[in-house]
Amino acid sequence: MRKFLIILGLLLILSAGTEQLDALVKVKAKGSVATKNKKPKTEERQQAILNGQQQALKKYASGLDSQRLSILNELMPELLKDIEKYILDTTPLNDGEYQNGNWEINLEVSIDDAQIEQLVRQKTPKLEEHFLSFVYVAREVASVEFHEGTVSIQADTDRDHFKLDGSIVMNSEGISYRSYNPAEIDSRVTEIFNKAGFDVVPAFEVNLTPEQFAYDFITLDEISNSTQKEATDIARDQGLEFLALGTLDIGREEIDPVTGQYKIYAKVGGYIMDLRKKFAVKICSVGPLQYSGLGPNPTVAKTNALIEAATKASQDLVDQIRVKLTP
Amino acid sequence: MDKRLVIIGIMLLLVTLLGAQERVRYAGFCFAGNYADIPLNYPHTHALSAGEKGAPNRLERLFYSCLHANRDFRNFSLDLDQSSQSDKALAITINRESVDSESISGQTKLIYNLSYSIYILDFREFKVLQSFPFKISYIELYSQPPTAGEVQSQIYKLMEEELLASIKSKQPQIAIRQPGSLAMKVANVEISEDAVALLGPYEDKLDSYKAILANQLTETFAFGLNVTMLPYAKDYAGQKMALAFSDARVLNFSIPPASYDLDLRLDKFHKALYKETAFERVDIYGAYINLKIYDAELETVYWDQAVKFGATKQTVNGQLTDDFANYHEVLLQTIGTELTNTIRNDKKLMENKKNKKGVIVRCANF
Repeated sequence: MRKFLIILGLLLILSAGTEQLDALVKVKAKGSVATKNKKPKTEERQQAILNGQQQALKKYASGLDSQRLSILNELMPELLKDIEKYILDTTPLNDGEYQNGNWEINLEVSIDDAQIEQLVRQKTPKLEEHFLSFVYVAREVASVEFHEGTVSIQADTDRDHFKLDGSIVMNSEGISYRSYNPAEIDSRVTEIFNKAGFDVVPAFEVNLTPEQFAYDFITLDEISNSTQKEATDIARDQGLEFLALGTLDIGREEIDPVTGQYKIYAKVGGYIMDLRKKFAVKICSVGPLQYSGLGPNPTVAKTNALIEAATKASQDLVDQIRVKLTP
Repeated sequence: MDKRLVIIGIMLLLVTLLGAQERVRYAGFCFAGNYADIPLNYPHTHALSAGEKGAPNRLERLFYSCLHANRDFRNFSLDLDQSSQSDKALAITINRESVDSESISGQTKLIYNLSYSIYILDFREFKVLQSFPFKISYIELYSQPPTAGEVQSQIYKLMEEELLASIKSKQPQIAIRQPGSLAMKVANVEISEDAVALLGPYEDKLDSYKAILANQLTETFAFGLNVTMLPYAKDYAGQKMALAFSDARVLNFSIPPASYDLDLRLDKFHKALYKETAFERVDIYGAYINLKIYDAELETVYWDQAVKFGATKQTVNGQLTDDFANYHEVLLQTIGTELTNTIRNDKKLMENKKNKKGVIVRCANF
């Protein structure tokens, strides 16, 4: 009876485990242990595997962006201490081999990304009552005008000189933009800041006018100083502590040669202003970075590119501000 | 009495847990690659898939009726009614449609080369989890050049009689990989300059020929050696694959990194006279390949070996010889049967002891 219950319990755990395994990141690493034995003892083998798991965690962290890496480097002792909590599965890729006083084994390690994220959230400071608002504006090309110019080159030649005769046609293009702001960006960015512990205040609630930002970005290629000043003043008056600003530039559509779908690039840049002091201070910034989106039509490709760019930029900003706010 | 009831209850739960086969949705028939190029790359299959909007086309009906009667695979059953909540789906994909013609003594010879794959897809993460390739090669002689309709009828017949029969016969070998299992993937296919010169119609279509060889290698490992295989992608850096379904949906799937990579190199072809009489000549055609199983990331080579195979081909005097067709046939046999046998006889790759396992055993699909 008792055995049955144990088996049943194990089966239930296993069946639940198969679902959990979907949120893993696989990393390959080499585990090694110094030994004189060509055939390692059980404890030496276990040590080599543990070393390999530690290597895998470090390799996983090194593939992340610089801010996340710095957070994980801080947490690394804790990660390594409870390593079995963050590693779901370790599969040997070979039988291991003895080389120059070391026994080495190749491993494929499955890291629980979600569990690490939970630790990051637990260990980073609780951002209680930090009010933040954001304005992200995007623009796309509305029209392109081509201008042709001609440069003529002429030169004479004699015994000591040579002659050039011809002309070069130079093209330039005048690009005009229009604003493009899908609602999906707002919900995605709100989600990221919320998850990081900020209380996100919608722009309309504090009388910020994204339209003014969009106008500046379309006409001036940047957000004017006066618009920024006006926004920070309003935000501070309304009791906001942080204001995040982002600009997204949508490229022209092209056909992806691999998938045949529409591909659009989005360039993103952004920063967060700290409004708690006498002067508004730019405490972190990101970009410009480029991301691409694919889709069966240009609208889907555009939205995908914008969401990808806004998500990555916001995540980077959140990671940076976490580091800054750590006491 | 109560104790008995509890035991019966536990037994029933146990039977349900153990006996319940995983359900995998049926995603339908689809075309691999650039959506806009479907009519160019698969003109006949594309024509066969045309139908009234909203109604299943001829190909959809063909596959659906076959799978409806044969839902059970090795460790899963197909959910054709889309009633399960599974994220996994099975799609039958066409990867290649090639119909080449030759004129012989006033007759038209058509060579059909068709490649298909069963892909197991993860629709939550949009990943290709596994690939099971199938190929059809068929030659038909026509007294006069066939119409497009005749070619399409032949392709439909090949799908109906050969592809479906092949899928049915291999259903017990098609299994969903288990979480945490290891997999292999064809990473690179190289062809030496000497061999390129003998590739006939593919001399200037090397990417197509590489894809044929990669598919054959994937098939050998998946069915011949029971290895979990990921699909070969031409664009190795991008590792993306677009699949266009019959309802005009185009979805991009990523191909996850493999535990082990395979590099195939075609070194050379060889032809030598074996016997000649007044009526016939017999030639030996040979293919020399090299296969490397390795891990680029950990800089480990698990197997790097040359494999060769030869077969005789008889020609009646006066009959034209198609050298490329013979080389191709021998090469596919080399990558197929000969390679399978070589690997099966390799103790290191096939080792299966408690603490010693070869890489083929480590990637066993079931």
